[in-house]
Amino acid sequence: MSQTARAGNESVSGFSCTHQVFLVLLRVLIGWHFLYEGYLKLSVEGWSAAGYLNNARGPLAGFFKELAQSGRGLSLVDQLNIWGLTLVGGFLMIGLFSRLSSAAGVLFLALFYLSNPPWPGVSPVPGEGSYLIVNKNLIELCALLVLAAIPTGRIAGLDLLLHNWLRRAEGSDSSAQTSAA
Amino acid sequence: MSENNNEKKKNDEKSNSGLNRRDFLKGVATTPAIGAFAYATYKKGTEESRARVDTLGFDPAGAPGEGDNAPATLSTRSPNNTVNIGVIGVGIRGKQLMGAAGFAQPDQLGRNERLGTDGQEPLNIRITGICDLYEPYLEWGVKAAGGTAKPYKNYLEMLGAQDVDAVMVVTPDHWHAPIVMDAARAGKHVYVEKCFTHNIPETFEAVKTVKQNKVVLQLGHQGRSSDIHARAKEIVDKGLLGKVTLIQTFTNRNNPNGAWVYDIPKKAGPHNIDWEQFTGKGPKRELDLKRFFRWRCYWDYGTGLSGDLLTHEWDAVDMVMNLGIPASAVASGGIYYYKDGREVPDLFQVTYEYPDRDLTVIYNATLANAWRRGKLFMGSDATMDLTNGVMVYADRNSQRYGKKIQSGEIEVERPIVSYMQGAGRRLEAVTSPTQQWTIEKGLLYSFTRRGGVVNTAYLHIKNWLEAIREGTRANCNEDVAFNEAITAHMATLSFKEGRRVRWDAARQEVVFGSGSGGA
Repeated sequence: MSQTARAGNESVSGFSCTHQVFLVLLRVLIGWHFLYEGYLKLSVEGWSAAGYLNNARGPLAGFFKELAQSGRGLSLVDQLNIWGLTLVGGFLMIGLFSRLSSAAGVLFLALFYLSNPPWPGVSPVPGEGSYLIVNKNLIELCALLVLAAIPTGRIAGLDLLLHNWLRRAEGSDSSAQTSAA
Repeated sequence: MSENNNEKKKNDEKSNSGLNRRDFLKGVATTPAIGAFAYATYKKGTEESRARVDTLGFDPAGAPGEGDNAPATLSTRSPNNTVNIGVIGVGIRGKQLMGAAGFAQPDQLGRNERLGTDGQEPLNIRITGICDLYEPYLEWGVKAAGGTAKPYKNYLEMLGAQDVDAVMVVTPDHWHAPIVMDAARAGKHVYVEKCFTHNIPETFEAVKTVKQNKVVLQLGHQGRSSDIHARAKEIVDKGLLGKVTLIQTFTNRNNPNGAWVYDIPKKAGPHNIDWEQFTGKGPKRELDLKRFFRWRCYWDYGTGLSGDLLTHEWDAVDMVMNLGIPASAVASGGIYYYKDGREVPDLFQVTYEYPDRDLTVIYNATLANAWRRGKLFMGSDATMDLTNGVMVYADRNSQRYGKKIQSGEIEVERPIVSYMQGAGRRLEAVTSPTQQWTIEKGLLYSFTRRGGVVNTAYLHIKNWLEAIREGTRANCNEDVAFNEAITAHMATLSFKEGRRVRWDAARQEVVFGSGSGGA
C-alpha cells in the first residue's frame, strides 16, 4: 500500500498505473455481472427467489427454505435481490460508493455461497463445473473484498468527483472561517 | 492582508479547476461501460426474442395461465360472503386439506402442510361441522376448526344442519359417491377427494345427482390449480412436439407411507371406532384395524393404484391433451413387494388407447422403487418432459428442427423450452448454474404470478369457493370427475378380470372386448 499518501488519493497512489487499470477493470467487470443479474430479475414479471431458496442445501438450508415459504419475508427477499444486485452492479460500474457497494456485494455473495456451499458432505447441485469448498461465488466474493479495501472509485469513478467536491466544500468552509477570523 | 487573501484564493481556484478537468475525465472514465452494458443487453434481448419467434413461435417467458386451463391464482376479488363448511373425514388427507384452508394445528402437522398458509389471502370460510368415525380424529378436527364446529358421528346429521353450506368429503373411496349424492340432494356443494367413486355404476349415478341438484362439485385433483399444465398445453397446442403418439406416465414411491402402510394408533379400538358405519354397504367383517387405517390396501374401501395415483397422472395428461375416457384399457400387475395381506397391487401398469387421437397412454407404477422414469409426451418433432417443470427436447430425427439441429442452433441434449416453476426464465443467484427446482409435478405447491409460493390444495379449494360464490363451475367439475373415475375403473376392471376393457362412447357403457386397441 501507499507510503506516500496524498490528499484526494490516499491508499491508491502507491499502485502503478497498470495496477490501477487492472483494479478498475476488475470493479467494472464484477459490476457488469451484478447489474446483469439484477436487470434480468427486474425484467422477468413475477420473478421470485423461491425456487432457488427451496433448493438450498447445507447447514443453513432450513433457514433459506423458511424464507422461501414465508409470504411477506419472501417478497422482501425478492425485492432486496432485484434492487440490491442492480444497484450494487450499477454503482460498481460507475465507481460511485465503490467501497460500500463492494461490501454489499460481499454480503450477497456470502448468502449465495452459503445457500449451496460446495462443502464435503453437502450434496452438490448438478450444474456446470466442479467445486470443492472454493467456487466462483467465493472467488468473486474475495475479489470484492479487495475492492472494498481499496477506493478504486477514486482512481477512476464518480467517487473521485464526489471526493473532490466534498473536499472543496470542506475547503471553502475552512477558508470562510479563516477570513471571518 | 486582504489583497494577499484574494491572490491565494485565485491560485487555489486555478489549481482546483486544473485538477478538476483531469479528475473529471478520470471520474467519468468507467461510466461509458453502462452504455456498453445497455447496448449489449438490448442486442441480446432482440436476438433472443427473434430466435424464439423463428424457431419456436413460443415465448417461454410469456405470462403463464393464459388459455382455457388458466390456473387459479390469488385473485384480488374480495369474497362476498362466508361459506360454512363441514368436513367429513379428518384422517391424513382431511388434516392436510384443513391445513391448506388455514385451519392447521402446527404442532400436529408437518412443515409441508403448514406451507403456504402464511401470507395467503383468507378464504372467508368457517368450519361449522366435523364428522369422523374415529373419535380422536373427530376431536382433533373440532379443535383445529377453532371453536366453530359441531362434532358429528354420522354425516347425514351434518347434511341436515342449516349452518353447513358445503362439505368436503375426505373419506375412504367407498364412501365418496354415497356422501356426494346425499350432499347434493341436501343442496350442499361438494369438494370430494379422488378417486371420485368406488365403482362404475355409482359414477353415472353420482354425476346425474350432482347435475340434477345443481351443486358445485370440485374433485380433489389439486394439480388442476397448478400452472405447469397450462404451459404444457400451450406447447402442445402450438405444435412444438409435432404429432404426439405416445405418452408415458409413472408413479415412483419407495417407503411404507407411500405404500399406504400407515401407523395404527395404539389407543384405537372398538371403543372409539364406528366400524359398522365404516364398512357401509360393503361386506360385513369383524373390526380390523389394518382395514380401518390402511383402507387403501383393500378393494372393499379403496380403488388401488389406478384410483389413487394413476388418476393424478391421467388428470395431468387430460389437462394438457384434453383426452377424456380412453377407447380401451389393458392392465396388469401384482403384489410383489408389500406382502402384508393387502389386496391391491403394489406393481401396476395400464395401457390406454385413444385411436381417435392416434395416441397411446402408458401408466406404470411401483411402490418399491423411487426412480423417476419421466412423464413424457413423445411427439414426432420433440419430447416434452413434465416430471419436473416443463422441458422440451427436440427429437434428433425431427423434420421440423432438422436444419437447426444440423447447424448446431439446436442441441438435442439441451431443452429448447424449459419452464421451471417460480424460476422465471432465468436463474436466481449470481453464478448459480442449476435449473433443478424440485417442486415435483405441481401437486404440492404452485407459484403465483406475483412470485409467491402457495399450497396447490389451497388454490384448489379457493377455485371451488369462487365457483360457489359466483355460481360458476369448478375447474375439476363433475364432467372431469366422471371421465376420471371411468378411466380409473376401466384399468381396475381390466386388472381384476385379466381382459381388455372398452368404453362404448355411443352407448356410454364399459364393455369387455378383444382386438387391438386401435381397432
